[in-house]
Amino acid sequence: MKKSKLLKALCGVCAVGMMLTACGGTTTESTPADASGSQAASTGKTLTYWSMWNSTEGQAKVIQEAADAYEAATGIKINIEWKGRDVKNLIAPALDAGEKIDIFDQDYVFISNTASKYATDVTQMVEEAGLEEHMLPVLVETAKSYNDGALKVIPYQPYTSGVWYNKAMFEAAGIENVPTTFDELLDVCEALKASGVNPMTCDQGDGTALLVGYQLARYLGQDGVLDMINNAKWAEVPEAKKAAEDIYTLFANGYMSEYAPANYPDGENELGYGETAMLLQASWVPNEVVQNTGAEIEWGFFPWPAVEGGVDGVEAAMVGAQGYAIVETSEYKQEAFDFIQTVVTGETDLKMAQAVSSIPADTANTEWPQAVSGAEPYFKQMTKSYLWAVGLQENGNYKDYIQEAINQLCKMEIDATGFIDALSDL
Amino acid sequence: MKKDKKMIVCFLTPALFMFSVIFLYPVLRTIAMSFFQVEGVSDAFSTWKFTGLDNYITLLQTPIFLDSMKNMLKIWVYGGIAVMLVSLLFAAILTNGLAGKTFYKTVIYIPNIINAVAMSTMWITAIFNKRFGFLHNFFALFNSDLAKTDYMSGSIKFWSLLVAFCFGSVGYYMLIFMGGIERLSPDMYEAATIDGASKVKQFTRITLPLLRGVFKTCLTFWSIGVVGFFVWSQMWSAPLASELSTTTPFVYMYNITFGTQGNTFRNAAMGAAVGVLMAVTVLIVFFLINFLIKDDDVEV
Repeated sequence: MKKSKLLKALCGVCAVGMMLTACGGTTTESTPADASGSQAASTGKTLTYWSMWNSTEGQAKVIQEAADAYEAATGIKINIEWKGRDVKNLIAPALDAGEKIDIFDQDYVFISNTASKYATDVTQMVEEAGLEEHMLPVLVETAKSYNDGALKVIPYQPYTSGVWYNKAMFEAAGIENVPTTFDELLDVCEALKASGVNPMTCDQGDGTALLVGYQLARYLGQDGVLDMINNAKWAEVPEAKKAAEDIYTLFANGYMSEYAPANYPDGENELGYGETAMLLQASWVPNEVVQNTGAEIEWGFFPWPAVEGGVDGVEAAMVGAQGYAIVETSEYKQEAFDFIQTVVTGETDLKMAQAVSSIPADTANTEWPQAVSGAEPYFKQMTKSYLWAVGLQENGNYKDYIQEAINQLCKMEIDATGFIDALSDL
Repeated sequence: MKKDKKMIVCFLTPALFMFSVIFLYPVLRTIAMSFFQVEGVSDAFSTWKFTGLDNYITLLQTPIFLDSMKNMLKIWVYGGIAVMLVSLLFAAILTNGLAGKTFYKTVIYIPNIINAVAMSTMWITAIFNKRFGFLHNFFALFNSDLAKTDYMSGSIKFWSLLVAFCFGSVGYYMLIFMGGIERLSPDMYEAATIDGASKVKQFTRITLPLLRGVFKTCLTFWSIGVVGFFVWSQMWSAPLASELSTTTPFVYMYNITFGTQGNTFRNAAMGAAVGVLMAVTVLIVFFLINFLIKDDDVEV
């Protein structure tokens, strides 16, 4: 009888145990690496950092090294939970439920806007540490604009966008200067086509959205594009049709690869396979192409060209960054800030830039990785920033219709008139 | 046998407790949330503002939601017809004394045990890729223009998605149909054969009428599956959060609840309203199926 009771109790415990185990997450936690050299005595403090990276990514490896180095120097442990991109959806419910998190990272606009109520105002800490002079002004201004001048995010790993091209193909086609106007771009395309390569390509989705978005913004500026989208004024704005005609021309004249718009990432991979010379995309593309195809390309860069009578020129681009937030309820705000500072500046920042061919966040790191170095002069002269996809995805109820019309335009299923009609009918 | 009530309580209490906390509470919270204005899913109740039926009214006037419902309906009707017919056909063949029945059954069922992400990646890269996919290579052998077809964009994208999804669904329904057919008494078929009925006649006059209950089960499962259509749609629209041709109500719900890369606006209450509407849709379909399809009235 006793045995039976014991058995029942064990069964009960097992059942509860299994249920609780099943409820557990699949997060990968970091394991502290063996720190070499002298190590500060443990302070007993542990900071919890929910990271947007997966543990196998290049960024994660650099961050882990920085966390180990920070622990060795200060005795403060950084417990990193590699959550991946889903941290965007997980962070708010976790913090609302009282989870003890000190640091998280995500897109810097997401932190400044959507998650700002969970983020500490770091304006003063940044000022005291003199960090602002290491930060890119355009990012700081954008981040502050969401919170009445308060800085709630520390940007890192910035990106810019523009046309990435294969320098060897440009040389083979006898092209000496990069185009600065759309007409010059057409001439460059013609020369490349004559040399036997596809002048340009794009992936559907963000790729085609950027093509149309950039051309619209060159004519109208970011505010003009948003005004047109939010007030459905496509038919009333002649520049919208002109921009659609320009993009249609690229496809109709055969300046785009026969596979364009391709299913991501087939389009960008065409550069890696040596079939196509140019692609309009963000600055992570050179790294992606190298990772996907193993190609060794000497990358060139130029901003999307200006148009005749347009509002914006090469001084405007879609830029952004990832960002760090220190959780408002954290007990260790200053410690969290100190750790973040070691990641976004100096050697670690440079190491991260080199690991994934990205732009250094620290303005003092003037040596950009070769793959993205072509963008450096333009990036530093840039005065206007565009939103993600140049604002074409801003309106949640409307963006899928815009994308559908863009897809049809790029597949030449509709022309510029059809494009405007499709969007005016909404 | 004496019932040990203590044992029942011992095993049921944790399960009931977990059911209440993990299932019942979120369901009730979601229903309540759909009548309020709430930004984030975990926002405190004190921040909620009561708006009555506003979320539902707005939702039913939102074109993208209505289009996502149309996509769902298309998947339910076209996909449903295709999957049920093919599953039934396979079930009829495999229950007809075919040699190697277990092998074929296993092969047809295999797609069900493969993760949807892996399955869709396989279809997108190995079958539909317009440079090196199977369909491209197959049509290129005959120098056909069809080799240039882009299955992953334009109006054909929805159909490529549907074909891939249906392919993975057939095995599951085939097994259910096989279970239904195998429980029918062989005596009836024997009698029918003696009476001179062909195999086709036996199938249409005996098997099909006696499978009404099984059809009901299959349609209910299919409806639940289609209403929850999400992963395949996400894979087909990647890297975008959604696309008009493949968006479904759950994709819209996800986007509006959590925001997207290009649009950080969130409305958790609207997402909750989508969830409630979808649950109601499943209930309506369930009742309609029960009303329209009567149970088997022949004892087998």
